[in-house]
Amino acid sequence: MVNLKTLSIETAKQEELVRITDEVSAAVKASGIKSGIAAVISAHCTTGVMANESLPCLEKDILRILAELVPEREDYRHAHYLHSYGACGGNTTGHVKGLLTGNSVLVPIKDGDLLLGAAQDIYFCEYDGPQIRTFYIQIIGE
Amino acid sequence: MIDIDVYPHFFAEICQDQSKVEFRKQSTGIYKPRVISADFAIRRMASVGIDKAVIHAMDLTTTDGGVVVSNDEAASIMSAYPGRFYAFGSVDPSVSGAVGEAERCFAQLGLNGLWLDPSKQYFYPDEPKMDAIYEVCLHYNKPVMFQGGISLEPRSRAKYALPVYLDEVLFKHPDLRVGVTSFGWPWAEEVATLMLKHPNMYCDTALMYFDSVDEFYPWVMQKKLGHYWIERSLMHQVMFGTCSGHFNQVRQAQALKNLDWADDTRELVTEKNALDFMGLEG
Repeated sequence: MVNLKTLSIETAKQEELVRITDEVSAAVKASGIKSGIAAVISAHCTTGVMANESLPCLEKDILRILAELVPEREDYRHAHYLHSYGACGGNTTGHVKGLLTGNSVLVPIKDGDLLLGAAQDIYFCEYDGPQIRTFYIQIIGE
Repeated sequence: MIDIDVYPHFFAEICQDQSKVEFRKQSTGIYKPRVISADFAIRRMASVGIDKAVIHAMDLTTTDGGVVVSNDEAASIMSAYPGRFYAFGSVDPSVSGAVGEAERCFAQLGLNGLWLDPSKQYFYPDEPKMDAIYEVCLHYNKPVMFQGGISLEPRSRAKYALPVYLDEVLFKHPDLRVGVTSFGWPWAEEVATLMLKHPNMYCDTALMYFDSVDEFYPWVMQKKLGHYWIERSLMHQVMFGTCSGHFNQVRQAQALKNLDWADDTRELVTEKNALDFMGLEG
C-alpha cells in the first residue's frame, strides 16, 4: 500500500529549521500502514529535510556552520536576472545549503508509527524564506 | 519601515480569476510567480522589519490590451489592510478617460498617488497630454511615481524611460512631487542630478539587475554615484523600495541594512521620505 500526503508550511524567516515530526507522525497514523517506511520529501530547491536532535543550541550551530560553509558574499554565477522567471536569482546559498542538507529523509514505520531514534526529530529546513513551502510524505508499507 | 515599491499582482485576494493571473504573467514577464495572500506578504515584510508597503495598479489597455491590476483591486487591498498598505492608482495616458480615472482614484477610491510606466505605456512624461493628469495630482496633493530605469518586462521600450524627460515635467509643474523607481538605473547619475536640481523629485532603491543585491546596492549607490552623494545631498529624496515581484524583498531589506549609512540617513530612506513623498504625516 502506498499513501501520499502533501503538506504546506509557512516559514517565518529567511533561514530556519522547522520541526515537523508531529505532522509526519500524524500522516503515518492516518494512513493505516502498520509496517513500512515513510519518506519525507521537499518540493523545493532551496530547502532541505533532515533528521536531527531538537535542541535550540544544535539548531543554532547547524545554521551557523552552514553560513560559514556557504557565505552570502561569494562569486556566485546564479546572481543574475533570470528571464525565464522575470525575476532575479541571488539565492545560491539556499540552493547549496539545500544540497548539503539533502532533500528527504526516510523513517521506518513500526506498529503504525514512526520509528525514530530517541534523539531524532524531523526538520523542514528553510534557506530562502519566508515562503509558503510544500513537502510530501510518501508512506509505503502494509 | 516602508517599502514604496511592491507588486500586488500575485496577491491571492485578486487572483481568483486564472485568466487574470495568466495575463499578469505574460504582461510582467514574471512567468513563475508565487501566489501569496496579503496576510503572508505582511508577515514576510515583518520578518525584515518592513511594516508598511505601497502597492500599485497598472493600466496597459493600449499597449497590452488590458488592465494588469485595476485601481479598484489596489483600493480593495488597501482598505482590507488599513495601515499596512498604501495604494497608488494607474491610468493609461492614451485612453480618453484617463483624466477622469485619475480623478476617481483620488476622489472616490482615496488612493495615495498615481503610478505610471512610460516604458510599458509608450509615452514620454513631458508630452502635453500628460499635463491634465498631473494637474489632477496637484489638485489632490498626490505624487506621481514613474516606473523608471530599464524595464526588463516584455514589450518595454527604454527610450520612454530616460529621466531627462522628468526635468520638463518638473519645470512645468514645479509643485508636483515626482518619483522614479529603481534609481532610474542605468541612468542613476541623471536621476541623482535631477534630484539635486528638484527637491520635490524622489527615487526608490529597487535594484537587482546584476550581481547579488549586496554587490549591486553599493555599486550603484556608493560607486557609480559618489560614496557620500546620498548622505550629503539626497538623503531626503531616496526611498526604500524593492519592486518585489521581480526582485527579492527580503534580500534587499538586508542589503540596505548592510550599507554603511548613518542612522539618520537610514531612517529617512526607510520611512520619512516615503511619507513626505505621499504628503502624509510621519
